[in-house]
Amino acid sequence: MRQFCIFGILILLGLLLLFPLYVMLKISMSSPSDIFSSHPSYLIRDFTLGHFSNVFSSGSNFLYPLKKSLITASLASLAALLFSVPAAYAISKFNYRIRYILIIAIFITRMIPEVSIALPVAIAFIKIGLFDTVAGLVMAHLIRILPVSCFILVGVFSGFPEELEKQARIDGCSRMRAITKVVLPLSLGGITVAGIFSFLLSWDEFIFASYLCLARPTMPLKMYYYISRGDLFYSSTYAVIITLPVLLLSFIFQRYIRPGYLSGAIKG
Amino acid sequence: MAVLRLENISKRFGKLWALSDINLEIPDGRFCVILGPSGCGKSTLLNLIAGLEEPTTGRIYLGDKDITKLASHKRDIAMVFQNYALYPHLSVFENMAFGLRVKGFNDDEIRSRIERVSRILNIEDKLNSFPKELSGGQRQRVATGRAIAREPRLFLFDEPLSNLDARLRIELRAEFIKLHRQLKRTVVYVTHDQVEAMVLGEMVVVINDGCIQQISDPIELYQNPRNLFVAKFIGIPPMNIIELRLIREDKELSLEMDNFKLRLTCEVNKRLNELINKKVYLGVRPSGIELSSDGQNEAEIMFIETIGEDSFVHLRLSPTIEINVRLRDRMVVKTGKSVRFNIDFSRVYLFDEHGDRIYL
Repeated sequence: MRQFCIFGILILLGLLLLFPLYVMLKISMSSPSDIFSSHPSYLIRDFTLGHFSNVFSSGSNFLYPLKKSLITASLASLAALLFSVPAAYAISKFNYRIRYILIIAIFITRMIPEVSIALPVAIAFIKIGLFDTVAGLVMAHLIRILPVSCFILVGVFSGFPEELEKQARIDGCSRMRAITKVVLPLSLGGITVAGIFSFLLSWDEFIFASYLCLARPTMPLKMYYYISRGDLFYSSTYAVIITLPVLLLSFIFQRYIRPGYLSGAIKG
Repeated sequence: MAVLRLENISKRFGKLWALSDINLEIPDGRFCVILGPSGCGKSTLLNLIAGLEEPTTGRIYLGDKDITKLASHKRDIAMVFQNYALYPHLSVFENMAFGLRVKGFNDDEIRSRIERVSRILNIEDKLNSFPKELSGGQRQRVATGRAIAREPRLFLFDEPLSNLDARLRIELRAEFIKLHRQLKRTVVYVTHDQVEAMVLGEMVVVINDGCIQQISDPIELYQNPRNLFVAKFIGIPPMNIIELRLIREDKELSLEMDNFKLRLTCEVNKRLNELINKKVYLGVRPSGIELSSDGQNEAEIMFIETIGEDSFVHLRLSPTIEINVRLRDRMVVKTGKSVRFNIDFSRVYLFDEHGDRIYL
């Protein structure tokens, strides 16, 4: 009975969380008459893909923001991994106290609200010619991504059995080779999680983008544009499109995100 | 020749000296066991030899070569860890091949070596399995096989059996002896288990608090401990240690505490004279004491322990002194009764208050 109650509550919470998503999906797939009625229904009565085809056929108006967002997010997550994998590996080698201090130090950058640093960043970028460029946006996004991906990866590497790495070194690997042949392949799960998270943090980023983009907006900016114009169908269609890549990425990489990847390595 | 020589090795972690002034030479082909309680620095010593850590001071030689600063992958050493450290993403075959591939051996050579090693270790049918499909004993065999396949100059074992259950431990212990006879390589084997050390070691190094306490063969270690630590540490059940005071009466020396008194029957040497009226530890193994009706001292029987064929009687000599005596000849004794006993003085060890042996 108790279990049943907990189960019921969980389902209820799940539905509550999913309901807005459903509404978004519903609006993006319903004809205007279905939505603008005095008693809108919960189900899709008049199904249409018209809004999607409208968005997709709007040409550069849609494709440029999509391209910019995809490139920015991909580059930002790759760059984040490039920096945070070595950083996190190094941090994880310290003892617990120093590790903790370093993590806190990294997170200090996140304690400053983005709105308050976005303006100085934008001014600096205008001076050095990074304003309204992908490179500039990637750099700005790294401010928010790096602490998080470092944090995830420090956890991953700290949990990595030290003996495996030592074994590789004794088996004839240099330190570098031990990392590339043993540590990294066996940490792919955690690295993937950090990567997806980084992608997500850049993909839906709004504040830096709104300061640093002018002529070439990103997807969230474009969506905001339609929201501010009150275009319900465009904004919810954009919202659906923005949601998709993250789901897709998680789906593709889920085989790396599984527990028990290290089982059999050591006896705990 | 793979003689391993450690000269004045010390290792410091922060403020803590994990090892201080270790000097040790292990001859070629010798099975050397490093024995000590947990946290004594024995694993650190192994890591230093393996090159996984650098000593704070001192030098390490393998053969004639100084390997102190040499990276571990250039040392031609194989190591087996307590938790096996198998690569979980590789099959058993690939686990054993890993080191050989890194060293650039060709496939035929790798295959023939692994087949030979897996035959010796009885894991031929497991070559395509993955580590998670193996039992603890099999994993340990694979880890050992991986080390053997490398044909290194020196084998290091870091408590390889302590994660296994008792039966398997005895089985694999015997296999290690056979393997060593077959391979004739120098082995450094770290353990906290004195039985393993006694059975496997041709040479045993006892370490405590980062210092070498004694280096000798197992029998010598048991019969002739150099200090109080070794005396206490070696032997099951442990040696009885009694804290006494050396007293001189006329020309006779005796050891006393409360109402217990033991006359020294040996010659009085200079060393003993220095220790008069000082604290002295007397050590005697449970088998060095005999219960007999005409014994010198009297004590009360606390309880009796029977382990297989042996029985041990716990005696209370005084409110503060209790000893353990091995029962001979199926003597019948009862708890709570008082008995008389003799201490065989030829089997007594004396230690001064710093724990150093007083040789008589």
